[in-house]
Amino acid sequence: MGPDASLIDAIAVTEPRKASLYFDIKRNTLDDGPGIRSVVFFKGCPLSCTWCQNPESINTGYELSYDAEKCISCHDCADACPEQAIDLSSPDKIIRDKCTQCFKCVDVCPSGALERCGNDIDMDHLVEKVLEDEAFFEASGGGVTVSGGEALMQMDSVGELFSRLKQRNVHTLIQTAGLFNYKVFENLVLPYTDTIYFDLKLMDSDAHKQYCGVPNHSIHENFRKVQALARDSVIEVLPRVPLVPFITDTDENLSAIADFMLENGVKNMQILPYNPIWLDKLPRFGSVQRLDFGEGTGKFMPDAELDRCTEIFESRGIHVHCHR
Amino acid sequence: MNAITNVVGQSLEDGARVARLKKAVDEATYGGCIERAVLWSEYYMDEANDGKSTAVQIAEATRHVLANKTVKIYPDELIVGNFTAKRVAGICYPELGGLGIMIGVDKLPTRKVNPLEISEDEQAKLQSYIPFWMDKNMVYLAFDGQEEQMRFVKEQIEALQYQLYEAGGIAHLAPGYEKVIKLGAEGIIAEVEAFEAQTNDPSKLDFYQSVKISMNALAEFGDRYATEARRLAEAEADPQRKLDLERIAEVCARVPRYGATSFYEAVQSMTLTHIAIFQETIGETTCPGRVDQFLNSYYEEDLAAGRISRQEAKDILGAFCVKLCETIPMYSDELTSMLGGLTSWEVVTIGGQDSEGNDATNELSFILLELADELRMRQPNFHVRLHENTPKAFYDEVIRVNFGPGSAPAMYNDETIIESMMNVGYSLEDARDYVAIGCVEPTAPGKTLGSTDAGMYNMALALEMALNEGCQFGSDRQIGVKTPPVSSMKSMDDVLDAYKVQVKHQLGKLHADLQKCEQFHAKYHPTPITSATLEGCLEQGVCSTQGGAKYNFSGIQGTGMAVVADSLGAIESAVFEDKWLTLEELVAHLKDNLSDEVVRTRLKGIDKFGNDIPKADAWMKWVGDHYSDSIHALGKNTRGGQYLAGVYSNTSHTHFGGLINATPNGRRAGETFASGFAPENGADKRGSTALINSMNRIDFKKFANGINFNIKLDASSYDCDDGKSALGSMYKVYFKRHGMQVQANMLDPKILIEARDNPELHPNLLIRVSGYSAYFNDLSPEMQDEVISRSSNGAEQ
Repeated sequence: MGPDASLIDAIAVTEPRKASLYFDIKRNTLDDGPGIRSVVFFKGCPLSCTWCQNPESINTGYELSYDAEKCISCHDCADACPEQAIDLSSPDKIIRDKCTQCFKCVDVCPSGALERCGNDIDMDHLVEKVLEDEAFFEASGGGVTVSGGEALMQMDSVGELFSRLKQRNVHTLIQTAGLFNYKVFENLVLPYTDTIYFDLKLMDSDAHKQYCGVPNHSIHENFRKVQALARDSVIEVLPRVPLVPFITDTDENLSAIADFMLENGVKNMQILPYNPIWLDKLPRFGSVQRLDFGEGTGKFMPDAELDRCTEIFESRGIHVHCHR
Repeated sequence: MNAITNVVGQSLEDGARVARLKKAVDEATYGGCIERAVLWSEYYMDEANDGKSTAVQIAEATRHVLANKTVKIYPDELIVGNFTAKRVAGICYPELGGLGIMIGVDKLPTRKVNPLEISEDEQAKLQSYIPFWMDKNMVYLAFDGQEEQMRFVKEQIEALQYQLYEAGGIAHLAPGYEKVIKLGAEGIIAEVEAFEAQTNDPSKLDFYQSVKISMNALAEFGDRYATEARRLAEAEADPQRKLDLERIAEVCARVPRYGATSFYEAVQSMTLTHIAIFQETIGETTCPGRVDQFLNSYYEEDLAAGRISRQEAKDILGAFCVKLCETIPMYSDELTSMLGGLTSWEVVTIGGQDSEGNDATNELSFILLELADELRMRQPNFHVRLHENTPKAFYDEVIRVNFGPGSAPAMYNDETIIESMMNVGYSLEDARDYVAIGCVEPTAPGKTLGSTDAGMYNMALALEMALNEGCQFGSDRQIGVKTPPVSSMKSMDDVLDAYKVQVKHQLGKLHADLQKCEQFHAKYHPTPITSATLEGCLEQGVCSTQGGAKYNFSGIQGTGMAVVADSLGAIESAVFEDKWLTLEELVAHLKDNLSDEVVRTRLKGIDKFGNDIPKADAWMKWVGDHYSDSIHALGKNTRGGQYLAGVYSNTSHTHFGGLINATPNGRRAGETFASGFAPENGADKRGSTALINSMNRIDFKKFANGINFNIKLDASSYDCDDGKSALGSMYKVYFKRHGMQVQANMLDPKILIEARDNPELHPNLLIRVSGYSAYFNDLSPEMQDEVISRSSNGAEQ
């Protein structure tokens, strides 16, 4: 087994959680699977990709988000904070070391500048929330997507959610970074899963560790297994590759990914154009920017680049999907 | 007489002719035309006409106009008929609301919004009739005494509480063009004579006399085009055009005098009748209706007999559609701010079901949709009827046409509308035949005088007055009832009681004024041509203005629904539940225009309509139901029909919003309201599905005069196969759960900002505003900003 076996054990959910930890539910999405969908963003991820477009999803705990654009400087939060962790005259505004995440400041904030990121929700409420748009799922052939973070860090929750959704014939889809305990997945989640969107980022394991925080062996092992399921028509699998300039989008890396896909019988894949909006989110969580490749860091990818990346897969007979 | 064999010849080059007609109309300068006002005045100033009955005078005055107005046949035209002496122009009606225009006519060419070209000679001529009409116009005759007249005019201009469009003329109907096409003027005269023989009632005989005069005038109007076409044909060098003109001459010699014997004749007959009605009385919002239904038998017969091809039929209909763009309203500055743009609201309704409930979508429905897509002009307004059995191919085509430069056809749900119409007295068969009038108003064509836009009512004023003892904030002008001061209001019910009292009082006032207008029309402005086409009028011998039509209604629109609903929700939450401020404190903040940013932000943060939050949505339902019940409680109009509630706003939401002080939902003084039934701008933050869930909590069947639900969508999200399919599903869900109407605003903010800053870049950018289409450049600057802000919100979602 690869060197990250212990990591898998560590993230396997052994004790059923009373509640699911999520940070957002997005409705009416058109790009997260077929039809009109609701997406549950679970919080917590075993990876820590430097370009993560949801940096607030990585941490498995609650976080305080502060959006300076929305702040009207009423100071109600500073008055409410029992720890004196808010100082609107300081450049950082929030003294994160002092914050105990009591979120009293969020309760009093009139403008929504302060928000709690990460909420526990019990299954009945979660099901109720995702079914608000059930009529639209039914009419459009849509359904529910779980994303994150890594949804499969909370397999109890995902399994329970999906089993309830399947009772109502709602289509279920997982977006995963691929690092999960396959055995637990097979028992708890797979029976209720229609589709998996499986991300592959870097073929070189050292580079994967450097940029994503973990090596990639287990991810690739899981990929082989779910692809086998796809070949047996148990589920549908769509491999996806996030394009990050100079890191994942190199000819070398994409060619290696394409070859790996071919080995596993992949016929369709999706490229995810680089999303620079992640930069906007960092200051809200007091996070540091860990990736900078110059001017392009803050820009959407030019079409020519997407064409180049597409061609690497198409030339091997793999059909490429891409929302531009 | 025989039908013309090869109807339009080979000169139609796959739509190229229609494209040239469109170009000519698009490029024409907008004008004001004085011809109708001059001829009308001539007739009434001629003492020989004194002493005749009112009906005969109207008929003869109309005949005088039709017989003497300029007749023009423009290059490339196959469908002929000119509304005015200019290519694109408005008509002034001195006996109705035209006096205001006549007095300020010198400003028309240079005003900022919607300037109209009108020469100095024309201005002087028009103004020379002012003294004559001073004591013969609508307001003078409708209201007793100078004080009342002045009050009414002042209130109409200010338009704070309400504005009555019926004060400018009734219109707002779909005449029975089907009948004229089938019988022709001669056939109608024969019908009149049969009724005449059965009665001695002098008032009936007088009405019949007026109809006969009018029908003869209509027949002779056709003759004038035949003569003109013959004259042009003789002088025409191009042999192909000569052939066209000879055909026009043949067709116009037959229609509208006789019943049509071909598709071409049918469309020509309808066109000249439509134009004649614009001379008889104000024409805006006179709607052709279900063109695909009543023309279909002519199309199918011609097609089967090899007399016409699909493309030829499309070109004829295309020429008709372009023609509808040649008329624009001639509004005063005040009215322009309420009715932004230069739309004449001539609605063509497409698809739907027949009187037995079977799907009625046909090839002409598809052709009209194609034209809607290809022409994308201000007129006609294309409105589409949908129901459970609408063919998928047609529905897909409707969704496809949703995309394009700004324009999307409004979509109607047959199931909800038919039920709402039956609730107010339409028979099932007649309800199934409904058309949309003007913005969104359903009526049965050819049998209804619905006066669907009798008035617009500012709902938010009642709320402001409920919080300030019947006055606006900072004013001691007692517009409303002196309700208790807020210091004595101890519960939500106390607030609601005051609101209800103010609404009742205002609507009572509106009702009294409106009835004066109704009585004016009945007494002074009968409409014999229109009435001859409406079922019931000839049978009863009663003009439609006096209640002769089979169905009679008056529609009154409530504007500011969401601002009132969100404000009531905010009061309940802030004052009576969370109690973070008292009602007195809240009102003090409102009077201070919510300058305290913390308070304003808190108020804005309270749950609003449109987010799939049951409690917030319940307030919208409460306000809507209360409004509908209040309108129904007004009883019957003087034509014997019910008052109906509608919720659409044209651009009155901007006008009314401009006059209302800060509101408890966190809105500051003067800010616009949302349009129609939509959530307040920017208040719906959870996306389209949440919004539709909220909308589906409303009981739309209570709004038989129609509602407008303008959903703003980011075009780029949906303009792909997946997106179109998702969009189609979304509308289906809305309709399946008893939605009533929806119209998409497919927006790309960048193009709008460009159009605002550089109007010349996008001169023909079509933008949907609350149920009707207008070019973006026709809108006032405030309205342009409103559209931009709306579209920006859409893009953020």
